[in-house]
Amino acid sequence: MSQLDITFAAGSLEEIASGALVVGVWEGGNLSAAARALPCAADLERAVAATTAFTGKDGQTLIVNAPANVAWSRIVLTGLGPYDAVEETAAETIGAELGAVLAAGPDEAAVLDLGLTPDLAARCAQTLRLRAHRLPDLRSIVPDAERPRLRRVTLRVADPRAAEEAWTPLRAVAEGVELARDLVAEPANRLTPQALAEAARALEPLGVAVEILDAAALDRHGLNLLSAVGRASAHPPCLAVLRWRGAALADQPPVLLVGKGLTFDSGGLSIKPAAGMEDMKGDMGGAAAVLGTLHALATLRAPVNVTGLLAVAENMPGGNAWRPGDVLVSHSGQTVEVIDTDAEGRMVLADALSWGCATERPSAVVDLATLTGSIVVALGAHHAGLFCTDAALAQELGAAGQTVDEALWPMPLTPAVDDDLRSDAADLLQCAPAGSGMWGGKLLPDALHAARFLSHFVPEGVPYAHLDIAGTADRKEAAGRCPAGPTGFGVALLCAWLGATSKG
Amino acid sequence: MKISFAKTALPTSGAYVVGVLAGKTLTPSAKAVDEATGGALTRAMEAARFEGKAEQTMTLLAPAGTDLDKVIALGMGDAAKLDTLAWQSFGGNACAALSGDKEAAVAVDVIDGSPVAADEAAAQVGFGALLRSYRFDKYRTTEKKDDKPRLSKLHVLTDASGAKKAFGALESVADGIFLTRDLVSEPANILGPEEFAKECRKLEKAGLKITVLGEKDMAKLGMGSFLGVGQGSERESQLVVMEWNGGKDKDAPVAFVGKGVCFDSGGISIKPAGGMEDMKWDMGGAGVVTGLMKALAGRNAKVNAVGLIGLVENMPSGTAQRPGDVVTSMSGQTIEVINTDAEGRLVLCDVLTYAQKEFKPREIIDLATLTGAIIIALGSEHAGLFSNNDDLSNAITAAGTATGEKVWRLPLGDAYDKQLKSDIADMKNVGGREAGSITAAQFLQRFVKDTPWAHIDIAGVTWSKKDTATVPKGGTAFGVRLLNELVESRYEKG
Repeated sequence: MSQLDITFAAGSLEEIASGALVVGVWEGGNLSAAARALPCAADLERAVAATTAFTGKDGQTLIVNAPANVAWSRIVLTGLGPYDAVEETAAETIGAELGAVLAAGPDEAAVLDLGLTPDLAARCAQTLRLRAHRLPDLRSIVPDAERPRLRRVTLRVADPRAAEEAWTPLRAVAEGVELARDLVAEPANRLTPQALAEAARALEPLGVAVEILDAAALDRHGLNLLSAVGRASAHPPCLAVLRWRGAALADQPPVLLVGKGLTFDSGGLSIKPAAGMEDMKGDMGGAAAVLGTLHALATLRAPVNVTGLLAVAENMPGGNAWRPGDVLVSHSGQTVEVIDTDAEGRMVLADALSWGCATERPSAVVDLATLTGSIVVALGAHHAGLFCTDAALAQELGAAGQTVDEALWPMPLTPAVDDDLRSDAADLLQCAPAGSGMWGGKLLPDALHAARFLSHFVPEGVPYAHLDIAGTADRKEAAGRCPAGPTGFGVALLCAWLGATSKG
Repeated sequence: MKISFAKTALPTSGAYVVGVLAGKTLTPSAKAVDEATGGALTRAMEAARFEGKAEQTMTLLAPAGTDLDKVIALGMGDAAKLDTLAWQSFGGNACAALSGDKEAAVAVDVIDGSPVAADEAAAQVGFGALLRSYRFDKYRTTEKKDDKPRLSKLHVLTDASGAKKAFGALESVADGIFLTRDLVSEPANILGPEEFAKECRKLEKAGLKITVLGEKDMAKLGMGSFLGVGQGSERESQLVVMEWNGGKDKDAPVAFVGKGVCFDSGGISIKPAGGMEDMKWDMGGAGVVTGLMKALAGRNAKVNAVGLIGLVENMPSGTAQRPGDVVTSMSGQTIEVINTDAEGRLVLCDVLTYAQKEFKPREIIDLATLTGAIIIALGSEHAGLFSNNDDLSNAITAAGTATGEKVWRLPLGDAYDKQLKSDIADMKNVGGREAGSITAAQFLQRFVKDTPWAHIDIAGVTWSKKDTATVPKGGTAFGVRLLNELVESRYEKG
């Protein structure tokens, strides 16, 4: 993907005059100083007065095409919110909305002259870039009108060096988010388990040590749940291990991040209905988020030790497939009775969690997974479910999510549902059988069951959080910093969290 | 079953329950039994792998050295964990272990390390036993006598003097709980809106002021949303108002609002046949409010409270409401009915409006078996809690923890509210599969003005498929204990 080039400059507008110019309007309709200084200021004022819907509230935009007496192809007026200082969240809202407007427009370049402080300019640039991001486009013929044009955005600031400094970490996070989104968007015939492993390997030049446990290694190490899920596919499963050691002490226990990486989930023998199955190419959103996070941390040379695990498999039906009723011995030694081969995410994660805790001796564990439809029924698209064994960790993750517009909502993780996971044949049922719930058996709290199941594979005493991102990894409509489609949910949150913990 | 209190002494007949703490530590009463039987209890514990863990039981039949029919050793777990709920459970488990005996005693010793005072502990044991003794068997006409539980008298043995008095208030709560369980258990052919209202009228004797509004009254008030739900049924919808004025005259009441869909077939958007029988308890919220009002009156609570329940039957018929219909609520807001099986909110919204207009309550709490989605979200350990007020929400959560009727808060927000947007009316009555319980709560919130409000979705906790210590399977009356505790801690102390 061609990236959007963001620069900061202090020069006069004439020197860089080309494409679109963005200037601000305060809430109530008064032009900002930069707008008033334009030769066409009177026209802009009339445009604002003529548009009752445009009040100057932050994030609103008004496009004035072919303005008189200036070299700009168009002027985009953007609401700044209440006079006379732009708030932090307003700067981010403004950036996101401009990202949508400019990416849809015909200009290759845009200049933002909004009088933002260096820090807010950087934040504005980040949300702009995230919203303007284009996913891989596999069309052989793209109509001219739909071809993305925006290449360069320049933000005018008083101190470009300070803005660059603030931008560097934000850019790294944005790149991580974009990487995660692009991976999720890739169809499963292109992004096979091996291709996802290769995407992990691509982080080596950044200083990430990458190890791939292939199918034979999975068997050797006893990751039998992960093996079973992937074994009917022509593309064998693997565990990708990404180690970033940036802490001053190389042997400081790492944080373990685990991502569910089902490059395609047909449901296996418990096959899914055909309608909507195409969305299952995105069932590796957790792994993509972990990969994107490692990319950002390594780019920034972040002073933390982190191990990322991608539990990668393709879940297919076949003569060799795992079956409902099978009993499997997990890496942890606990036996699991299979009920539904479409509850495969918890299987691959269980082994990854167990192997990761045994191998890496982590100080804390966070997994991300597009795990259950249940969490979508519970929380919809505006919060991911947070299941956590440790109050401090839950609080930290929740706070980190708040700062980057990736909201989490705590959900119960209690022994009360253990009864539902009791098996007659093994240590654990993989999930509760259909028909065992309430109201005719149909209604099962599967997200709770899955979270509780997973917690059995993390040793007691290790703070552990499970993020069920099935509702937030993808969105139907663009909003805020996310265009429609994959969101990259988790990358910004984990980066914010790990940044915070390194300071503390 | 009758609960009485007496001094601690080894009984001379019947069955006798004694406690054993974790690690086979005998309570004084257990020790007395052990001594009287020449160490039989100690030997039996060894033989039966009995450790004294909470809920473990072990029975000694006709123990030598006593005239008792049997001694039941009941595990109590760790002394430090013997809080109010643990004592209740001890009583409940004692009752369950005793069902074959006619008369029995349970010893409540003073336990060092338990955070509960001795008289309170004894009262809670009696309360727990009473709650567990509930059985809804009026329609089992051919059941053999041997198959029915026989326990009719349970003596709680304690040396603490205040136990009986402490039990009095709890017994009133139990009365409320039993009323709720009765109402919830009654089949819909017996308990329709009018029959339910008649049951409420009986509470006038307890000191409640009861007002019943019929369909004509509701039409005059403009409750188009509520009335639409009942228009397919031949039974008349009812709005029952129950007032308890135990507080100061000038104090605004707290309002409790309950969903009372006496049977919910789904209407024209009819439900699948499997499990439809459960829809007799779709009036669980109304059942809880009714039981709660009885409990408050019974224990003479120092609070002004008003209970409002919307009673209706949701049926398909030639006169039934259709998907696509637009109704006008009492608030004036219009609603496009997309799914006639999302009827609870259509009833509640008008009752909420009426409650605010008529009573200007200080706070409103509604309860409803509102969504299947809450079961998918939270299962049956927690009810879902939604609120526009953190303080009220925290108080309800705390009351839930204290009573074991636990709630879990879920989010509200504009982003969810948008899912209710309609092209023809002010809102749709459903917001799609995603966040189904949240959008139901958002719908209700549109009918709440500035009053602190909480909505408790009890669809997952109103009916239980298995026995627990103090709740036999069937109707749980979840909410009565919770809200009684809330009234005590939040409104009576203020």
